[in-house]
Amino acid sequence: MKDWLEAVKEKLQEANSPLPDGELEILKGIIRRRKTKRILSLASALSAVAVLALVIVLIIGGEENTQKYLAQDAGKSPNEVETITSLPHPASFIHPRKPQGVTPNLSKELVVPSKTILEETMPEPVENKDDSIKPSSEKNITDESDNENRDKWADSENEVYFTEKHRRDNGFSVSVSVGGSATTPDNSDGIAYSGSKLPSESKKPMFHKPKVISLGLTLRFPLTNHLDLSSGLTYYSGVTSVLTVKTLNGRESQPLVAEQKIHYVGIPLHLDWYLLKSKRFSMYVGAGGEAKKCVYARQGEVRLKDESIYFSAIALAGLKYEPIRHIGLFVEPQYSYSFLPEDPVVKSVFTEYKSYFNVKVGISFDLPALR
Amino acid sequence: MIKVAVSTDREIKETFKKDKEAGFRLLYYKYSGWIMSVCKRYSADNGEAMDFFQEAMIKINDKIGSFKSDREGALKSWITRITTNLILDQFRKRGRLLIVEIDGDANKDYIDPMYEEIASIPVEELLKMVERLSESKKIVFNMFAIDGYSYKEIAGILGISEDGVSSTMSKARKHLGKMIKEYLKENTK
Repeated sequence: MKDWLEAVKEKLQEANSPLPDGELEILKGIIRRRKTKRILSLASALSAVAVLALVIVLIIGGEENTQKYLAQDAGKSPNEVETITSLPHPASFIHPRKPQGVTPNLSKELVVPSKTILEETMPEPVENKDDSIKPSSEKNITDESDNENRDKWADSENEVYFTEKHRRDNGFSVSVSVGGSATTPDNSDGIAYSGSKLPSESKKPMFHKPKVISLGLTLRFPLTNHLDLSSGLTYYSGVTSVLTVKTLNGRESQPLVAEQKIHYVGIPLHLDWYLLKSKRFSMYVGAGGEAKKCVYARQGEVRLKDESIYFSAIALAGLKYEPIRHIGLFVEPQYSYSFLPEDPVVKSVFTEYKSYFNVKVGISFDLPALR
Repeated sequence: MIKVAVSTDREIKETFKKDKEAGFRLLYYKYSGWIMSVCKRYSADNGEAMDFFQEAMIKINDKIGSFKSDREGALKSWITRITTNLILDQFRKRGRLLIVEIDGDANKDYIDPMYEEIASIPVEELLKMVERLSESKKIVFNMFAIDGYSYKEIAGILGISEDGVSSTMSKARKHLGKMIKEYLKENTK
């Protein structure tokens, strides 16, 4: 004899509940609006990054500004500098504080046009107030001994200098990093509250020392001597304790502590401005944003799914040391400001706290050949 | 009344590839009633069911590109899963999945209705009876008896033990059976 529940199932699987007239048009309208909103959000994010890049390039620096400043140092007005339309005079690449008699380590490609061409095409060399800077025509600037002197000088003082040679040296680069993080401490009971059924006074989850580690792969593209565009992929993994409260016969049970594991993938995009760049050391600051998505979350035995993408603005500072040419070790503290969602499925450090710190350490490889 | 020819799943899928809006229209004509009935089975009231319905339709429209099967009937199963997962996610967000109900409504004198008796009950009346079940019973009953989830899957999703699922299902069965018996008693006088 068939179970009566089978009959109920068969009946209910034929069910077709009527819908109000015009529902199709309402749905089409909602879908259109969501699509427009999505496109606008993407366009806004891209515009913001583009504007940020443009502002940094125009206001703070870029090769042309550097050239102007150096020329101004040498006694020319900005208008006069504009008349230098072909190549910058080699003197503009020489560090103003370079010791007398030492010439910069410029490559042959940059030095061309040769002395003859320079005499024909270049305006008169800028008259330097600093006697230490000599026009290129007075000295062979590819002299090997001078290169050695310059390297020694750079090593000994770790001064800031930006030359065409160094721009090429610091071409496209790839780096691998690991990081650890912390949020601003909010409570001290050692338990993270999460889940959506919480005591009414504890609706906002509280995290105490959540352990999140990150693993990153970053690609770095130089835009100017000073500016790099960085992007890549960052994987975050975190474990924390979760407190949930169940309702039994209308009454809340004793808190149950479960372990919550989270895995997120983030795509950062930031512009990095070099404050200092020497043969071995470089220091930079950066700003940009990151989009993160939860790819796995488990609370106790319950698997949670979160389809949303979360955005954050990031500011960072980095220090890089190159013990071997083209291979660098770096440390990069990063501050994230998260745009908090209203009611995320997975409550984590990325969705509950505006401030988030992450310190990355890693190794980078310059790939000048790919530039 | 406008009559619309019902498309096959393959036609819906192919139309979606060429023209999303036309594909959505075909899907709506064929499955909107079914999706709404799924939403009603799980919801507390019509307003909530309508919210779930709209969210489900939007999600199905977004994700139909990832549906690959050509088997007739597979689209209905896929749509049902998308809809139930969405509803369960919403319940989880609102803290409604953590409820484990222990009540004393077990009726020892209860007698199951007969398979044949169910045929005489209109679908709308059955839906109303399911809607009248308490929330935890309704969720477990719908997941297990109608939408084909196993006890293990339900236990994983709701975060309760398989014994808890079994116990809730047993109570849901008894409660629904009682309502059906009462309905039959009133309507066969």
